[in-house]
Amino acid sequence: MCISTVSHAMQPAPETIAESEKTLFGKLKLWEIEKISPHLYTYRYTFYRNFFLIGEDGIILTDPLTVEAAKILDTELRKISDKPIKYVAYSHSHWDHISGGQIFKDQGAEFVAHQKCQENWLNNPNPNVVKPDIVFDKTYTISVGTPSLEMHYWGPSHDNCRVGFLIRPDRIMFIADDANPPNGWNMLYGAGLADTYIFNLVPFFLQAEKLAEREGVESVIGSHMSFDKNPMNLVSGTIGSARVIKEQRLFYQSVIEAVEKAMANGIANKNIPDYLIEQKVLADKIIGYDEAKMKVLYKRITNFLITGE
Amino acid sequence: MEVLLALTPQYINKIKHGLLAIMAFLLMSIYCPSWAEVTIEKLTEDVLVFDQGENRGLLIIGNKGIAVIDPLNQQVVIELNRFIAKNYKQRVTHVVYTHSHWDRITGGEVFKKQGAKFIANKECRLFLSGNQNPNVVEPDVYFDRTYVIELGNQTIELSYFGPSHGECLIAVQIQPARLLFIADLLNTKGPSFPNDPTLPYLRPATLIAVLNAMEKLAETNDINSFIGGQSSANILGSIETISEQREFWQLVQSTAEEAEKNGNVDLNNFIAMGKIDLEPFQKFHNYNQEDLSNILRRYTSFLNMGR
Repeated sequence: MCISTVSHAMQPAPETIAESEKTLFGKLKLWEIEKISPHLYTYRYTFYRNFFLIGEDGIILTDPLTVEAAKILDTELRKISDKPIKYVAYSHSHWDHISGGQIFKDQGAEFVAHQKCQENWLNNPNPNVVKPDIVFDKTYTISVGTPSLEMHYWGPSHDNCRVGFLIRPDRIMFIADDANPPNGWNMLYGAGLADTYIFNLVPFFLQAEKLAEREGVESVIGSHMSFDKNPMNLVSGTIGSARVIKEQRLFYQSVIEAVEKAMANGIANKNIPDYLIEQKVLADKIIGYDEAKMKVLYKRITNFLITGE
Repeated sequence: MEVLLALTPQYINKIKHGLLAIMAFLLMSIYCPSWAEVTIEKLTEDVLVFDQGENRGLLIIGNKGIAVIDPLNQQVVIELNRFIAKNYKQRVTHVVYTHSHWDRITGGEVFKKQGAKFIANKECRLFLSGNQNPNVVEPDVYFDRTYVIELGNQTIELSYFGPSHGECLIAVQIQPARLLFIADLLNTKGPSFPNDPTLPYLRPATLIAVLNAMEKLAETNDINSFIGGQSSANILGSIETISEQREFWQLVQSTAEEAEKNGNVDLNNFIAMGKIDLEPFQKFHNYNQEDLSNILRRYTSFLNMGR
């Protein structure tokens, strides 16, 4: 596996301002902080990424990731700004993204999330995850002067409380765990779509596309490192074209349609995964197409079309 | 002249209706599996089980009304309707959905037209509102924790304890028969591996608490047997299956935790199966090592995500 940087026309060029001495593997550093604009930064720790905003009135952090990641971020943040951390915004409720916030809570930060995230926390509390203080239903905006963060809820999707972030004034979006630049057609990491509300995936992304179009959003920040095709390279995926939102919707939509079509053609439900793989449906479209994963994905979608969940 | 005569609005409507009927038939043949036989069996004088293919539902006959627990589908409903009309004076007054999965709850329109009240837990609303499936009658009542249906000499108590198999699975208690109906979470044969090892609907975060609550419900109400939602030779399962199934899931979770602790989980969240003790799993029905690998993968994801 090799690592390369992919540049896209019209996209902000991230500037690395800090990185670990330790490597994760190969030349890839364990973590790095990149500057996107005068007040927007991204922080990658292992394969995960968040972003933060520094304004005249303080700092907005997002997804603290892990206890160790948050500790490193806190140390590095103090080298960049002496402003207070006002808010920590959660993109969704999965612990692999939102653990470790206590260090910021201790500094007085308020934690903001969709109300369902708080319910999830109450159902299954985790001492490493700070319970959200401020919850909302549809949209919520937090501001620290010039930069602000809009949180949009479009119904359940990847977990029941994921929101789309819109960063202002940069007009950049962030949708955790999906829509990772440079491609929205990449093979899924978790093909079983655990904790995913399939019935609302396409409507969720349509809403995200609508917001992007309305607000003139051209870029998205990726919550994960990603991969690119020709050759298959692991890429940073820090920032890329907003077209990945549409591509991600088309990915889900196409998989659902493929299974629907197989059903309509009279293929027995239990045979649908093997049939679609044999027919090489979407094999040329999905980047990093993996038969074993596709089998699980097709099975999951078949179950969804039978049960509605 | 004859053709012109035939194309009066009345005839056009007939043609339209005919075409619609053909289209509906074609759609049915595309989307519906070839129908399997429906069987109806008396468990007690007032509690009847009906099976079709792999699924099972219930009829509870009270002297003041009849409740259908999970109508399954349109063909089953037609058969049930015929059976009820032939054998009982009472009509169907209640239709209960044990959860939101369409494969158990389509086709209730016939009972709706007869005035039956449709009931489900409020968490089902997410999946059943907005006509997502036109063949599913939307519930009239979405209840929160408990709901009691009185049918004269029969009482049905519906209890919701949190997400388990899907978001809104409930336990159905039938009195005076002292029976529980628990669809899709338990096998009457005993504690078992799940049918689908990718666990698409399982909610690990609340599953153990739900099973604990079901055990308590059975104990409090002196219930010794349960009926499962899957048709099988055994209509009744021992109530101990609930605690044994809970132990199965606890074993899965502790195995996943141990593997995480020992660094035996790969980047795709799969556990190195060679490094775990398989023996404790082998006593469960439908044991399969490949299935276990997928089940554990769901649990390592759960440990990472909390969901």
